[in-house]
Amino acid sequence: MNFSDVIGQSFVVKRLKQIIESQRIGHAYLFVGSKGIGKKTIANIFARGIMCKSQGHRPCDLCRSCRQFNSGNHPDVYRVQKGDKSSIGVEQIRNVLEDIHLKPYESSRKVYIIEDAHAMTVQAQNAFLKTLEEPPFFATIILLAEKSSELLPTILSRCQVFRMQRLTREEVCTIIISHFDMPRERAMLFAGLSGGIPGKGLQLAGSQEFNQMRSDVFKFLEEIFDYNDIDKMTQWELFNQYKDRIDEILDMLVIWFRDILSYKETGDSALVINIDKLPVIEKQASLFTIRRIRSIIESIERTRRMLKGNANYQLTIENLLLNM
Amino acid sequence: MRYTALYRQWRPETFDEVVGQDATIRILKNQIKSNRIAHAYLFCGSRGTGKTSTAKVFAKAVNCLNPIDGNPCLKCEVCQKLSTGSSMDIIEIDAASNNGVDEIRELRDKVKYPPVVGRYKVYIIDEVHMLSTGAFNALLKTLEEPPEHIIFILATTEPHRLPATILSRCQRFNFKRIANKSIVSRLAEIAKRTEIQVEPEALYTIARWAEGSMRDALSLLDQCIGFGGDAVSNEDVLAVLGTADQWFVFAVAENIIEGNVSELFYQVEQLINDGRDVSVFLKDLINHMRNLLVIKVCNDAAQLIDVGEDTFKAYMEQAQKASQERLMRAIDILCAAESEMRWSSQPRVSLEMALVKICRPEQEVTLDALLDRVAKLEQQLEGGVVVKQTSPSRKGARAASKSQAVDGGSTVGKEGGDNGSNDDGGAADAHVWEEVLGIIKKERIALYGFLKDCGFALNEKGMAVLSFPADQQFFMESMDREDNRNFVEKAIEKVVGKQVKVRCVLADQKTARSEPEGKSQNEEIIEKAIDIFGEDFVEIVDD
Ligand SMILES: Nc1ncnc2c1ncn2[C@@H]1O[C@H](COP(=O)(O)OP(=O)(O)O)[C@@H](O)[C@H]1O
Ligand SMILES: [Mg+2]
Ligand SMILES: [Zn+2]
Ligand SMILES: [Zn+2]
Repeated sequence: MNFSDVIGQSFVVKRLKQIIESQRIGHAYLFVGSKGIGKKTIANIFARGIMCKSQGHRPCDLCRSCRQFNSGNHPDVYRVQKGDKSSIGVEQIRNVLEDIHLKPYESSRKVYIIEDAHAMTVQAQNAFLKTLEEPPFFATIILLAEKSSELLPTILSRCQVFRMQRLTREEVCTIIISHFDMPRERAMLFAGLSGGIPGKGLQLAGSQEFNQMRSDVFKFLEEIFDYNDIDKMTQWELFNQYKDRIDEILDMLVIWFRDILSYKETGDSALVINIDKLPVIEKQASLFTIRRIRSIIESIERTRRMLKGNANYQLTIENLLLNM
Repeated sequence: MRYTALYRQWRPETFDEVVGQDATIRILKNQIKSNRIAHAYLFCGSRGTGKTSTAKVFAKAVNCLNPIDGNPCLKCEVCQKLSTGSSMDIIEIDAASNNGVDEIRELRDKVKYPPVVGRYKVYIIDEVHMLSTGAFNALLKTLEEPPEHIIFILATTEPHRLPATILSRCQRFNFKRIANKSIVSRLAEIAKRTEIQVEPEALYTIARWAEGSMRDALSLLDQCIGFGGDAVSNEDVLAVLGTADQWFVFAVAENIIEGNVSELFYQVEQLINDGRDVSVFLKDLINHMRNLLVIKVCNDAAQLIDVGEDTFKAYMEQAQKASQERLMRAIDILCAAESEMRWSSQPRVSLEMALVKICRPEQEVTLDALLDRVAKLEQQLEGGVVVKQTSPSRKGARAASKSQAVDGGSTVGKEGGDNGSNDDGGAADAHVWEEVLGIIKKERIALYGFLKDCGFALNEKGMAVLSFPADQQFFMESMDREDNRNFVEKAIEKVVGKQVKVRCVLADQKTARSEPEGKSQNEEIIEKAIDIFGEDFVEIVDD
């Protein structure tokens, strides 16, 4: 994959190409954006570009450096990943600090790609500060992070920051269609749900389980008006069944009520994301009050927060159900 | 020539190049001039304000053979030697990379050796907040009786993490955030010396964004160079920052002020379609609303808002149309949304929600909203909640689920009677709960502690809902262990004479108390009603 294959992100791509062409190659970059938005894809092209030996367009994908990179064993590329662990610890960063003082083997540069940089512990981030500010002249460090708020201001201060852009619905749709054989209308639906994140769109489009889950959740949402508190409590089963994917379920809930709110406020179906559910959304828009929708969305977000904070799953979900 | 980032290339080499820290620099220079040098310094302050740079300058200045007005001359033999970086006399320790234990130990052994080239050996211990306890203790020993020729400079962004014993041995200097004007002039100078054209407006935008950090400012300028064309324009900076063009922000603010919700939905759609970063936009919007507020409340607002003339005029105009209350409310809600966005995976929805919330204040009395609320009130009245003032009494006490309904949230299905929604039911629940608590208090006082503030409702199907105040999540979780639940279920069974199942929930609102002696529910209902209808529409009927 090269710059010309990247759909969307035109602004980021333009800047990165300029950096490579002008050879104003900095020592610390940070790419920020949600999971699946294309950070790693673009970082790989960029890294290849700054090490490429070609005199023409870089990366050329033909020279020895590019080929080594593409086969995953470039001696001057160092990756840090969190793997199965929940964080990147200080030891992993210390290894970088040791390695970074060794001259490159073959290239004129060495590139360090820190994937999941947002998962660096506070200690790891601190350990990185001085080196991130003034690494040896041949080193370039690229941090990839889902959220910049997880990084210390002192880290951010030392990096050139690239914020990945969310793609338009059309662009995600194009990507989905290029991967899956499906009608445009359906691809558009997933594109809408992806929130502009191609990785998410692809995942949704490709997952049987997701579609099952979506229809289960929607069945619940469509009937919610006929439920009393006890009925709502029994819906716990649904949430229990999909416990591992609760984040996605909460997204679905949020977007559902957001659609109702948006429809209620604008009366315009063009702004509705779950476009295949328009009739139900219309109906519920006439039943729910704005305050009520707001309070439900707030409950959903609170639920998300509590679960991230390791609150008891069942209690938290039941609480949400009662508040819906 | 090899490219180096601007912020490395332009690290101040003399005190005079350090901007925005006048008081600190004056004192340090005087110390050099009068040769009254301390043994330990602490430089603290937020990122990119010049701590490390000043430490390096100072280390040279104390050794320089012929300092010029306190500055290192950079020409003498010593200055030259110290500049090579590999000097033995200026030792920079990265306290964070491995907590410094080895370095500090080594330091203790080596401090006794005199300097090689100059008069002083200077240890710069950077990011010193990361030293381990062991390393701090080792350092303390040396700080207690440092040899004559040793100077320590500790630098950190987080001085509160240093032990008091260390703090008390250092002369402390606080590095302030650098004022926008100082940042602008330093950037302008650097631009001039590197022959880069930058629009003045662009410099202001950069400075604003840098929040007092020169490093952030230089880093941003660096990213903008070569981006648009020969000269860096304000648009280039905005584009690099990923922020929307400021007239778009003005347009959004306009709709916020006018309460144009549906327009706002379209604008958010546009924002998303343009691939803008929602959280960056939100930051801009907050800053914009803050500027409007400043104009509303301050006489000399021009001093406090760093923007070009045209922009300032536009702010003045817009501020005229907005009420102070709406601006304050908007800022509150937007800030809350900003912090919420850290959790949410749907930033778009968070933004939309915040906008709706701002434009639909509870006090608002449009005909639509009023009808909507009357309908809600009718439902509540049917449910047995009456808006009238009685003296606080047990009768006012209400089961938790009910007071949530009063919140005006629900419509269909919620008040469907499952939680015992007639007046007697509520009172009965309160009564039952009081007895249950009595039992629990006698036998399990700790458990009673968890439960005493929580609401209680029982339905015919034998489901008992305990609703905990929103800030008592911890109690709720402690309560919800098997043994505790069993105990409470038994206790309730004793009182009502049938088997029940207990469920715990966290109440939405702080009003979810059903303690008989608690704050009068009626007062709260009245507050709510005023909240919903506005003061003019609530008449309190005393009976
Ligand atoms: N007060 C200042 N005056 C001039 N430049 C500064 C100032 N503060 C920071 N800088 C610039 O920012 C860079 C980082 O500054 P540094 O002294 O390392 O900050 P910190 O306070 O984080 O230690 C310097 O190389 C310099 O380019
Ligand atoms: Mg520093
Ligand atoms: Zn190549
Ligand atoms: Zn000198």
